[in-house]
Amino acid sequence: MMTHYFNKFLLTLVLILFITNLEAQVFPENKGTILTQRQKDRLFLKQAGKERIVKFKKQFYKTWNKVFIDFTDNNVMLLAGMNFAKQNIRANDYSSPFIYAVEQKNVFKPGFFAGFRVDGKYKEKYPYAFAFSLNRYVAGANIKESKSIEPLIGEFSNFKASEQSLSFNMTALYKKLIPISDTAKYKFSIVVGPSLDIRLSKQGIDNQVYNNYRKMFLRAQLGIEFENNDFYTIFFHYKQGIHSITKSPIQTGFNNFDLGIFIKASDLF
Amino acid sequence: MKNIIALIVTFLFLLLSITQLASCTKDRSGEEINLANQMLSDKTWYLDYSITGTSKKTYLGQSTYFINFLKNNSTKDSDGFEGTYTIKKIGNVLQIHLLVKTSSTNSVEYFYNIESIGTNNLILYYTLSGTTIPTKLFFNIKN
Repeated sequence: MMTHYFNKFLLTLVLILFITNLEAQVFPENKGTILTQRQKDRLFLKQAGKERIVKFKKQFYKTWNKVFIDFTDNNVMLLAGMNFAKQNIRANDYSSPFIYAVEQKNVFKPGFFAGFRVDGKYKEKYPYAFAFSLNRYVAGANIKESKSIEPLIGEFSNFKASEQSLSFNMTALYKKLIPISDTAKYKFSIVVGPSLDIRLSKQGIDNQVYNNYRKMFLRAQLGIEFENNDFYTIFFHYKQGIHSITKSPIQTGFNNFDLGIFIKASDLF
Repeated sequence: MKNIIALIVTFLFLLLSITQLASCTKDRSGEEINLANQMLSDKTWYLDYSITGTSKKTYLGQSTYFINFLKNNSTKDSDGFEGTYTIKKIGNVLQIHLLVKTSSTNSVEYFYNIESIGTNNLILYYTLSGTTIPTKLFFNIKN
């Protein structure tokens, strides 16, 4: 069903692109030939289409500049690093015919991420950052509830935690400079803000059956950053899940640490 | 004002598209059967326990009944029955339907209900006609 909608959406996009491309085409006018009424009409319509596109572009930039007028001093940074993730799971009353032997992994497991972020100032006063990254998570599964099945030996759960995932993360951060050390050379900052993850990878076959995992999850992010002489910035962030990443009744809190570095894109390219 | 309305309309349209995509659901019984097949097939399952009401029989460490389910949907058990099997979902219950025979008997069709299935454990149950208490069979892949 979802694929069907997605295909429709893609088809519509392709059609729009096709139409706008057709409209944007300008054929050279041969001065030596006499144009028929139909050709004149077509040329007129093409011009009208082109004008509409130019007008739309102008309006778009005008609106964009109007909305983001207060976001200044923007710098694009490239970031990369390692993440350490864990999920705390309570299956509650979840039941299915499938059973899994519980393997307790109450640890933060390492993954990695890469992306970019835009640092700037709002109203020339308040530092902010918008970060966009691809995250490969390998999350340890801390199963807080399990059940025993008599006469079988061991603990079981009807839910199998998916440990690996790939997600696209978007974060908005407010930055606050901490006035310690020589702030002209070294800058320590605290950052805080919301973080949204969109899962790109499929769920494992065990979770596809009941579609247990959510597509998106929102978390709160808190961290510290250290900027060395404008060369690079090292950061350490913690992301705390503010809702379950699995659907009811399974409750799964997903938390992780990010340890990474970012540098100005202009220093590299 | 016109721009703000256009922005709001675009935002609402995007929000609607996302929620429409996210709210799609589909019949997942096929996936349930696939997963059950994946867990069941290409293994030999050995009977460890048989429980009917309060009566429990243990076959651990003994020569016990076993049944083999292959990926090509064929099956063979320790009693000499050979044939085919299919996993079906009837109502809300997964079932293993078996169509088997020995060289000297006619075909017999019967089924087990799946209570639980895992990569190493299989719990089946059936209720004999004329009784109300089900019999549970606990299988393991290690003898």
